[in-house]
Amino acid sequence: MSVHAHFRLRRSEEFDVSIELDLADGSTTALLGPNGAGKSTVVAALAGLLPIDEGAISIDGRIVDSPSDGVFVTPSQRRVGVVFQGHQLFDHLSVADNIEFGPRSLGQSRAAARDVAKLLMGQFELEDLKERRPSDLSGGQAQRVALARALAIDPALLLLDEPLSALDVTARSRVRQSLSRHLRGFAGPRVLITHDPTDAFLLADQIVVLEEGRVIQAGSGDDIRRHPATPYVAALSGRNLLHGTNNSGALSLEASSQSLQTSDTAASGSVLVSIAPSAIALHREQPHGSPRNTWATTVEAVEPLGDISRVYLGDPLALAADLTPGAVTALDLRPGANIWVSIKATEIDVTPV
Amino acid sequence: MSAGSQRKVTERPPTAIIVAAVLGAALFVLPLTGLLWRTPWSRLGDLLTAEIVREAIVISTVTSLAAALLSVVLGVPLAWLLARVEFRGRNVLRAVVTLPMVLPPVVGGAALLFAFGRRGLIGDPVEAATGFVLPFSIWAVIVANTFVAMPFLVVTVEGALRSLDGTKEAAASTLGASQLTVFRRIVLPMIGPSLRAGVVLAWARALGEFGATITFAGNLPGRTQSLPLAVFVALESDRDAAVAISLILVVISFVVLLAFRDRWWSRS
Repeated sequence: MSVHAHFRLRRSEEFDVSIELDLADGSTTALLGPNGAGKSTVVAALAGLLPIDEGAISIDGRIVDSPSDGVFVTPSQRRVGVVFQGHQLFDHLSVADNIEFGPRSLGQSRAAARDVAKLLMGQFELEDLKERRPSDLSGGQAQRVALARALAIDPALLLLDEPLSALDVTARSRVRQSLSRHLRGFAGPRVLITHDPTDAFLLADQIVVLEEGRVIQAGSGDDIRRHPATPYVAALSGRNLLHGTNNSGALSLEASSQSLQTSDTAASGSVLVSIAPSAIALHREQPHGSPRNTWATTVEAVEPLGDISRVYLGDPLALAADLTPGAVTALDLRPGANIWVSIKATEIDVTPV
Repeated sequence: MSAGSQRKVTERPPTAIIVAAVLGAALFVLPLTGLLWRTPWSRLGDLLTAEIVREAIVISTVTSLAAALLSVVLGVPLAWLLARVEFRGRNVLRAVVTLPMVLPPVVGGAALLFAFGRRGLIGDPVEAATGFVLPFSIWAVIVANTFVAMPFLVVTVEGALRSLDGTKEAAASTLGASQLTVFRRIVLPMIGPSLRAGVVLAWARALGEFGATITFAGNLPGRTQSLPLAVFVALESDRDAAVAISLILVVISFVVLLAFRDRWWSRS
């Protein structure tokens, strides 16, 4: 493991963060959780902006924080690249100077810093913007500058704190794609902080769900979606996510022979299909009427999750559907039961990937 | 007042408030008018080029600029210390630093004498060791000016430093910047507008300084007599000269206030 961290950090009398993380080179770990869960505290601890109270953090075999050994490496000595929430670009410096800031601060010559910046600006398509001030950049452009600036110090670990939250919906999926591409270009471990399950499932190999400073669940996106540990995780990660191709509303899926109809005809090509569990209707008999997405299936499992019951459906398309316990009883849903599924075309969301 | 209506109705302000406000304004407008009315416009050129006035202009210019410079060099680090470093007695130190803003300058001058005068706490050993005597020299004018002016800069800059939430500094430090680099390359540019305002405030205060200067540096024409001191002396001997010098000070202050008006009041 390239980064190992297990620590406790007290923020106040009532709130502390306690977490264990193993981050492999070339992998992206998403820290997923609601506001106030302690996600940014973890970023601050890894970057050295907050000292931990107990435990240890090691990066690339070097212990950077360990209270019991009296070790604390300051942020400027840690080489942890951070893309901060809201980017935090230096407004008084041009794009090029923002990117050169790190190498210059680390003592590289002006020429060497310029070479590093030039390379990154090429990679991130920023050459035309290099004289611009951050205030003249779009959200997506600012994010590329923030990422290039963080990578300019050749970090051992890359942290991204809510990199997509400042963007409007239309820019989001485009920027997410470019972010995904650029993250793959970084060889070290990547940590993505987000409150949006879609970002976590699309960008991360491993998801760590954090609530009130504690890890509730950790695993791959599929693990977490299929076996949510708590109602909170179920609600957070409950959406059915499928890869597929959209052709004017006709969706063919990678994992299933079942095709779907979506009312979204604009987003074509390779897409992520997202269906809320609450949008899936189940019937004893074949339904008649408007839903074009109708097929017969069997119930695989029924899990009570607080106020709702989550019903897992089998072939031809594995989906999770949320029903009230009353509806589960009325439909006599048990593992192995035969059932009809219907989903309105308007309830099937697609996002280009 | 009424939501959803496009109609604007302006009520007449209460008479009592108008009367008091006009009286208040008169307190400032009348003396200025008096000064302009009393100004010997035809002799103005001659009066302002008299040797004693020329010398006072030079002394005031040199000492006020030096005080502004000294306020930046010493005051910015002091403001940073007060804003960013937690230590015991920080609130007491802040109170001591800002004391000259409310203290009668004469008291400040006397205090400076007790510290740096010939028999002063520091002045005595310094004279014994080096023979250097601070009071009643142009250096004393600069020290007195700095004493009264620097608090304005410290207060302005400290406020600006406190308004930064620290995220840009955190970003800079993760990029490998030392605390000094962060301060020089990130913090200073960010507080630039406030720093400029603080410098101008401090400089304007230094230019008008009278009490601390006359107590600590004396009133020696050509050596320590600045423009405000020259006005005070001229009031006794040559009223026209006093008016002329006053006019210079009024014009300079007025121009500075107009130029920096937006910085001080419409921001924040």
